Amino acid sequence: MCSTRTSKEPGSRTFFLWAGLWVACFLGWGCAGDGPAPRLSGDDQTLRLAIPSDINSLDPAEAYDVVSWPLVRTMFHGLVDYDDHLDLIPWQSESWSISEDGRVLTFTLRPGIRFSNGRFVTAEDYVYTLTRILDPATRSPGQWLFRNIEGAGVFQDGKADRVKGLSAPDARTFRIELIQPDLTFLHVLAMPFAYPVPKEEVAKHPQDFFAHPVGTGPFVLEKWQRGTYLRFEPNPSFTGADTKLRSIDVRVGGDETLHMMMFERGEIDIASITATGIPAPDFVRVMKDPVLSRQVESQPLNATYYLSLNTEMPPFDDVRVRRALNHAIDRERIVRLISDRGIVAKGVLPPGMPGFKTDRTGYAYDPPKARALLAEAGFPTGFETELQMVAQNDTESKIAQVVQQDLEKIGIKTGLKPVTGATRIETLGRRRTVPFGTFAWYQDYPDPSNFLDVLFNGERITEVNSNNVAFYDNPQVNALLRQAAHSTDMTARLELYRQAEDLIVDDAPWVFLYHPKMYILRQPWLKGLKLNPVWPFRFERMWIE
Amino acid sequence: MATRIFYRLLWGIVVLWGATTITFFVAHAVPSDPARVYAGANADAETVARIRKEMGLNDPLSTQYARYLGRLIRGDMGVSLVTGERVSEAIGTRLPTTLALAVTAVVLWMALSVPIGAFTALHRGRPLDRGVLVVATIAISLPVFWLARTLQYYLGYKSGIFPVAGMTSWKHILLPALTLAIVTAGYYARLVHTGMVETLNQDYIRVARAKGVSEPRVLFKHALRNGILPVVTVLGLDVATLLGGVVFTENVFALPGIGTLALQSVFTLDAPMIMGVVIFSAVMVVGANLLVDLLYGWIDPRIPHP
Repeated sequence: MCSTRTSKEPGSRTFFLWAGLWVACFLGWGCAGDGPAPRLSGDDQTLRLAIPSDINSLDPAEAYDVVSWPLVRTMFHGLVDYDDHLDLIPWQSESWSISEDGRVLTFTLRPGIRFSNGRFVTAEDYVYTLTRILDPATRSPGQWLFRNIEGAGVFQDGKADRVKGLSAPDARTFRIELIQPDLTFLHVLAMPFAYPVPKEEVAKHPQDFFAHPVGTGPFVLEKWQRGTYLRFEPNPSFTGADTKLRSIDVRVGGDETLHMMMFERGEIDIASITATGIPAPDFVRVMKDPVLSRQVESQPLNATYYLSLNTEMPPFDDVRVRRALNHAIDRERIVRLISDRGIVAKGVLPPGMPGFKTDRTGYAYDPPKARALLAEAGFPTGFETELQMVAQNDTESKIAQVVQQDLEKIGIKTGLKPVTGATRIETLGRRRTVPFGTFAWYQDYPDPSNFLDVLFNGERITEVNSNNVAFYDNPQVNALLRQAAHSTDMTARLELYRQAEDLIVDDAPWVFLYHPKMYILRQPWLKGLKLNPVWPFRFERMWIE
Repeated sequence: MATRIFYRLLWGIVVLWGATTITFFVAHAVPSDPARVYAGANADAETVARIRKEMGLNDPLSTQYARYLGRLIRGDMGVSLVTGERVSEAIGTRLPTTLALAVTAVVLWMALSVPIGAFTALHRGRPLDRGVLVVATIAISLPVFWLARTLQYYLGYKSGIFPVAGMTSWKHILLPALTLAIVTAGYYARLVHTGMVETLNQDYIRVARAKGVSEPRVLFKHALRNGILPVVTVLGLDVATLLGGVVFTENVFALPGIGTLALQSVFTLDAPMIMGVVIFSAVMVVGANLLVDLLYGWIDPRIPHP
């Protein structure tokens, strides 16, 4: 029965099968490209970054998150931008004027600006860009910001083939006519949605311009290996201030802990470019480390973390209950628990926002007062409720546990309902669905309307996908917000917003928790990183030294 | 035999249809709105409503299902609702990484488990065998995410022997593969052990020994081929599972594979991508089952072909 092994025997075949598969998949992977080098090599001008998951889009009409935006801004520039004091300044416009009634904005474009395909930018490109955002087929998440343009509605409904309020009288003049005067519209134009794209390049890639971006910024996308890495290189057609960086390499994947390891091994230049910044488990160690702590940069963000109290659902339809909850929760403890990476909120607006009221006192931590308010509302022994929160989020888990403990002290038994981020966003915005939930709001632009009008205007309540997740509707507040929205006097409108915020805080549709602070850890050789509350990361200004 | 294979394939199609249908309705039963996820937290209700319409999400579920199935039959798995990427391309781009991880892991764990299983079978009941059993049990019980992070910390971050994470060279695959190999090799070693113990008691082995065949030759030439038969079934299914994506390992090591794609799709409720990954995994499992049946007949001609 003994026989000599030949190459036809199963053992050999199996070996060759496995070996062949192994070689084939490595060849397959190898053909995909080299990717960024694993370690920083001396003084080359390559900025190395890592992000937790792949970005959704590099099309400025589609990208709408804190990770995509700074990358989009390396390739696209727009009419206006912010200086370090958050004042609007001309960027790719030379100047602008606003008509007396505040409805017409006229921009003169800077000459000599070219797209990365070499073509000069004209005013028609801006007409095309904003029309494209409003085109339903583009599915731009930013279309809501541009509906105040004259003719936007009829265009979106398919009753007109152009947006009446957008025009280009000549190659360097771009005119926007608004339905209502709106002082915030310049802020909207500073958002990446409004950065120009060339029509001919979109036509070349109608389905995937997001992966073939062509803009007017200092960088171009050199390679995007989906799920693995992105590489940006200088735009040869760029005529603005020269950037010292020769490339930006972005690795995709891994969580904050992994990125911290990569940072400490010198593989990346910034530990995290998400809003979280330094991961919580490492924060105390980093801040106590004599070397690492010198590499930390921080910036309060224009954002507010809060607990939403659905004012249409009992028992939160009673203002006394809502106030009781505001008095019952120890915000300072929450801030301590997140390693002081936040500022206790006394109202809606964060300190960096115009209209912020410095002398606002908010709700003091006062459990006896909370109990008295509950008793007054008919709940002397408390009640049972459920707090919806996102399970994967460590910060929210900590907040939820503090809330649970604090409310227990005044007799409110709080069950925790963990959901995914996707479920939270849908259910919280659905009317009469979630009584009590954690949430946060990050600004779109630095104006109080982006908080107060969007989140508390009762006239904006919708059955589903409402941003007013407390379903708060106070006619007095609505009137103030309406008046402020149409005001062309900045001082007067800020005062109107302060009055509106006073009423909102008094009505307590939220438990105002804290305003987050971003802490960033950079390598000592990385220069030019200056955090900004609107654009925390401006990569094009950085260099390696 | 061809008829049998045909029927097996037909049955495979029925299984795939079942998996597709269940996944489709489960994905749509989750209380969430893909249009809202795509539009982001700040977009207003009208924007979300318009995006919903453009995505075709306002149609009745049955219409959406029929449309999806129709496209699928034509080989079109659709487009991601979140990234706009074609689902088939997304899977194709991630497959080499997952395949490299799966093959390397299998090679490693087989290289560990077969000699260990054969050796302990020879020394059955002795202290060495019991010691290996304890180690194998511990290895089987290790949570993969914990082991992955531990190996990553000590062998990657601390010592620098392996890259910490990512997929920029072949070295990046070794540590994740080792993670999978450690947690799996113990189980396979026990499978080989059991198979070998049974085989070593067979008459033909005694005959071979009586004829003076050397012990290594008895073991590796005569006994192993029959002793590893149980491994083939399990291995086929395990490889299929690995190709369907190794969620924890890929995520800890930031590998751009099918597992990472699956997880991201679930978090963003990207229904076409979720369904694409599920269908792909189902194809792998159905295919692996068929392959295992064929391999059985190939390895042991006494077993009838399917």
